[in-house]
Amino acid sequence: MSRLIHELSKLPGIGPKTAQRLAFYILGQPQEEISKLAESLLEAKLKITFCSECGHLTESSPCGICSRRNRDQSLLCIVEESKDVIAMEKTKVYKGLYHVLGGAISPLDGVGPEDLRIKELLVRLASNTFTEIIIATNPNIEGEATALYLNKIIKPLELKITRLARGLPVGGDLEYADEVTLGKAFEGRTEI
Amino acid sequence: MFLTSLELNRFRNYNDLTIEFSPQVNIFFGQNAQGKTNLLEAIAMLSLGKSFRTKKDDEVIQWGSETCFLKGMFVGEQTPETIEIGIGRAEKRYRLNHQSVKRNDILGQVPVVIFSPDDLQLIKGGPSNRRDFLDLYLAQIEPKYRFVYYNYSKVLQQRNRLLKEREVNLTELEVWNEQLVEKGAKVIKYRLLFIETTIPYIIQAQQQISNSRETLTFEYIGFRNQVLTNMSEEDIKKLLQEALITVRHSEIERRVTLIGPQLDDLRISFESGLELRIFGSQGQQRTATLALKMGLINKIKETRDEYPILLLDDVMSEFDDGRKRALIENLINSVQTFITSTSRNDFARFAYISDFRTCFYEIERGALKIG
Ligand SMILES: Nc1ncnc2c1ncn2[C@@H]1O[C@H](COP(=O)(O)OP(=O)(O)OP(=O)(O)O)[C@@H](O)[C@H]1O
Ligand SMILES: [Mg+2]
Ligand SMILES: [Zn+2]
Repeated sequence: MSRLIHELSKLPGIGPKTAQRLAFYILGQPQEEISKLAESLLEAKLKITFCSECGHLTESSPCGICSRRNRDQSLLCIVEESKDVIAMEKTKVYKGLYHVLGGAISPLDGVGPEDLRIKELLVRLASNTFTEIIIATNPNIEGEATALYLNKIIKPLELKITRLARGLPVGGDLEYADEVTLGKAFEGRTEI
Repeated sequence: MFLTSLELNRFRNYNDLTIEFSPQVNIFFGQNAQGKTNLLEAIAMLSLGKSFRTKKDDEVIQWGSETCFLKGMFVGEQTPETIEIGIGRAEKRYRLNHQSVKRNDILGQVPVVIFSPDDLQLIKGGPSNRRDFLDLYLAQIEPKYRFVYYNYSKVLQQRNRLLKEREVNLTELEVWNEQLVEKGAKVIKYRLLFIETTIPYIIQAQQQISNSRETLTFEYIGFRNQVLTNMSEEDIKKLLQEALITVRHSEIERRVTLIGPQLDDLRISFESGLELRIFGSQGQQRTATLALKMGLINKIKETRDEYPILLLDDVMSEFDDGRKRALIENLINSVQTFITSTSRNDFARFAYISDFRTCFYEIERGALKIG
């Protein structure tokens, strides 16, 4: 039991309390459910990788978005997680490329800038001709801190940097914003 | 607006209790250590989402149990019908009209004002007493403040953790500095506005109680004793920025945030400028404490267009003399009140109490007899 809790608490954003709750929940499931979970974890690990370009989850790298020629190559949207890419894609408003950071700055969770895919971002910025960088981190404290940080290090490159409009529910996650709200926030993005 | 019934399971010394209340005066009497204050604590908890006696919520769980449960039913135009709270060792659950919600969502649904023997600490104690006072009542009056405050405390926690890291990434620190200034200034601005708009009520109450012309002054004190009263949010930001530069080295050395609203104070003085905390007589300090609370009640009434629930824990002796008694008599007329006392006879001298719909409850070892 304590080993399961320990393993779960290594996951990002999972504190000891949540880990304990998850462990109890998992143990309360029937055997076959647990098998399915364990198998899908392994299968995912074996089949799914991160796109070498943008960091999005994919079965083959580069991912579908990065390899499709009809995407606007001059726009780059920076998000925290793969699930944010999925949320953005649902809005059908955005046609450019993505960069997935793999999280947000959060000292409490032991996540600093060096733990995010920021070096990869700088490499991409240097070797591509983006005209606009859209920072679409979550509208919460950690997302804001990450946006401020990115702004500081991208600023010297003299690119146009924008941030999603403030209409998003404060303290929330992009993932939970409905498509219309997220689409509007996207269209109303402002330069920073 | 009033609380019609309360249900407790394994809460402090109450194993299983259901109790119905009068919309006017409710009196809990009984010997010491029987559970009178525990009942007020439970009522306050339904309103505030946390205990007013302890910072560790799980202390209210009955010894030997792992969880406890509270439920209140309310009647009122702006009030939810039910509020429920479940507390475990590791987590808490809140429900509003049977819907699962966050603590912040129940805070302030049903405003309460608490009078307790510890109130004198508001005047005599350290700054944290006064900050907690501001924050508690501000959150009840200004729904937005809960988020402003929550965001700030999140930034503060993050920044403190960063400062504890072996090597602090200075660019990252700058980012948290910006957030600290931005969110901190908001917290301070809310507090300033609250103080500014509540002072007239406090002063009015104070003059009613003491019949003196003398008024108290209230100043919001920030970093290095600067008086921030009347400042704009922009000016507060500038001050915080400057303060951050001043403490830069000591913060890195001591690994903790050394400025911000979590350290500020509310200074209460006589017109002469002398501080009430240091130079006030016992009587003056007690009058001021009472005036603070009374002022607050009227401020809440003004802002929300309804009176808060009144919880009076062992403070009836404070209302002995004529003026104070008149004040409380007026209130009890329009407010649902819960009073604790060690003796039923305590109320004999409050003739007015019998004029209202008063329920007496005798409390004995976590159970009650209806009197
Ligand atoms: N978590 C708990 N579980 C069980 N009993 C508790 C718990 N916390 C406190 N108590 C008991 O509750 C009683 C104190 O209740 P309370 O503070 O309400 O007393 P009171 O009636 O207000 O007394 P007084 O008149 O002295 O203020 C004590 O007997 C104490 O042992
Ligand atoms: Mg008591
Ligand atoms: Zn990709």
